[in-house]
Amino acid sequence: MKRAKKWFSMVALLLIVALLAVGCGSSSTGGTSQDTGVKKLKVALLLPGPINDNGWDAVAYKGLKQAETELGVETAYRENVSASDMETAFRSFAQQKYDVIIGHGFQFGDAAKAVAKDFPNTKFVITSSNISQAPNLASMNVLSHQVGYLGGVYAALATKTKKIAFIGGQEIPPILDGAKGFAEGAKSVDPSVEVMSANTGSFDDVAKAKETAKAFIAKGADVVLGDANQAGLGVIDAAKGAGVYAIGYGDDQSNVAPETVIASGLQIYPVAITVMVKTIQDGKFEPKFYPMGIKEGAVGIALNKGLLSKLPAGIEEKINQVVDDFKSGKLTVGIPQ
Amino acid sequence: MSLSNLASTLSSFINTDIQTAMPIMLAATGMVFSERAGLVNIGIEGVMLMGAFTGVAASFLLGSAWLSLLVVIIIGGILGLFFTFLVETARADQVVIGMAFNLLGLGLTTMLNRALFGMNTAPPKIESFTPLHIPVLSDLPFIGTAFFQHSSLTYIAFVLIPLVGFIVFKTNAGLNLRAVGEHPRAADTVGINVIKVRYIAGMVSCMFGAVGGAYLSMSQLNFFTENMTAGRGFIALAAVIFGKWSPWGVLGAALLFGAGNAVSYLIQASNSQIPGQLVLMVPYVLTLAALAGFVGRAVGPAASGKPYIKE
Repeated sequence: MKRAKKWFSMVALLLIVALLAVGCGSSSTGGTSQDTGVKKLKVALLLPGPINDNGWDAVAYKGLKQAETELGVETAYRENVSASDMETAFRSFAQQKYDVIIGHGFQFGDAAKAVAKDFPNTKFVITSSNISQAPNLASMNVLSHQVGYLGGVYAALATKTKKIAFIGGQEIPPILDGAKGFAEGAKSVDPSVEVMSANTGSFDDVAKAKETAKAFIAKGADVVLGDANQAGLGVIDAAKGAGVYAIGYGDDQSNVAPETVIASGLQIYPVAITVMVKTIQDGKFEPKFYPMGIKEGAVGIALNKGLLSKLPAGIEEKINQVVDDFKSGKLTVGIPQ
Repeated sequence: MSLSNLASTLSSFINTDIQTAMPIMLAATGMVFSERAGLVNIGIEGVMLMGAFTGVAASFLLGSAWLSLLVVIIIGGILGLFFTFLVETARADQVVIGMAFNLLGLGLTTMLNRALFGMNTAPPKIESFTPLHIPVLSDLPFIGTAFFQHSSLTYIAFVLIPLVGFIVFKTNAGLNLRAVGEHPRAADTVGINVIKVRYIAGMVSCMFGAVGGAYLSMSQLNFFTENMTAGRGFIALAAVIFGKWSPWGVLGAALLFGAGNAVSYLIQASNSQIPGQLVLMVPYVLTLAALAGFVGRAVGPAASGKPYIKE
């Protein structure tokens, strides 16, 4: 009996360790190193969540893969990096002689600052942040403000009840910026549109996001935007159930509910990360803040063409005009000075 | 606010309350069995998560919501068997095994979800429990929205409450169950098979927990996302204590927590000037206040958390 007990605890322990390794901290190395004589740039990416969340983490992962194919760099990533693991994660990639380590999210900033001092030959990049530290720490931000702005413009153009709603996840700067941009965008179209907004405090709790969206819809909102990573799916589900429209966020989410999602505000991290890696590859790195907005091609809006006929006429031209104004520099909303 | 406005707000409030309470209530009702038998399963969060995933995966593969519910119940039973085996037969620490179940639930569902549905795609379309349309009742103004626009799973869950209450408090089997949780040695001397009772209780509780998780992914929503239970298992654990280890108490506790959530959604939707952080606290503060103020001392089964060792 006693022996058996020992065995069971051993097996149980092994199982847990194995599962932990699989579930919480998988890392992988991609990109084959060919012997071309030229030393390849090694790029690592640290993610706060899973790479298949249809949002924040998925787009960054896509960016890493794009940099790999377009620029021929060697890549690795680590997902579900919790706050307590950040320093260790940076340090271990730096020790493995990675040239660039990207921390995906402002919350990686402090850890990067601490580690960057010890590894002057490694470049550290923090996304959705504006920090910098000479000589090797820079930040870039895909301007959530502009993503929200485009979403707000489109929502205000599409609404019939003149009530629209924004449902955010945790109350953190990129989400708050998105909410601010959403309100500004909507008001720029029609100041009389009522913009409602709330944060659920969670990126995991899909059900909460759904119930919050339902509460807004009950209040008369007929276009809702969910900016909460994977929990944003709950917002789309609520809109689908109530027969109103939703705007996706992060990635093109029209495939989630083709009859519901009229457009998706895009954070084109693939572009932003590729631009950033290219800058470093070309030896033009500076320890400063790099804003990545509509002008850089890192922010955009993907319209669901299938639903255009159900929306007010001319909506496509109007939103394209706004995008063009940003590209020409006529509009500069959301670019930090 | 006009009267009809108030009534419609109230009816959608009740609807939200029930929706939010259901997964917690199901899991907590199951735990009435296991806790009464002296098992403390803090791994119920992990069990719920596995139930949530199993439901979606089975529905995706089998194409039937009812069939997948059956699969969920079976998987729940297996998990319960595994849990009871570890804590009773192998006599491992219940808290440690419970925690392991939580980690196992998150890790396993994450891995299988990716293996089955792949990366970066829209959630797959599955057969789920959609709101039933009951003739006449569902069309009633206000009352229809509040009580008669739920899925069949919701009504089943409500029927289970008196059923569980009856089994635990009015039958011989229930008496045995409670005896095992209060004084296993005494129960043993009068011929009750303590280990067998605990195995059954452990399995039943995990079946309920798994169905609670499946409610989340197949009735309230119709897809699975990683870690979607977001702490509901722990709230369910609190609900059992709050509800004083009785299914009616559990129902009240779950509905109160649901009401707290519904209030916070309402406040947020009304665009009030109350800071969002405070609003998000409402369900927890309400639960705490009720626990401290109205429920009084809660005394659990005496043999809680200890494996039974026959002399």
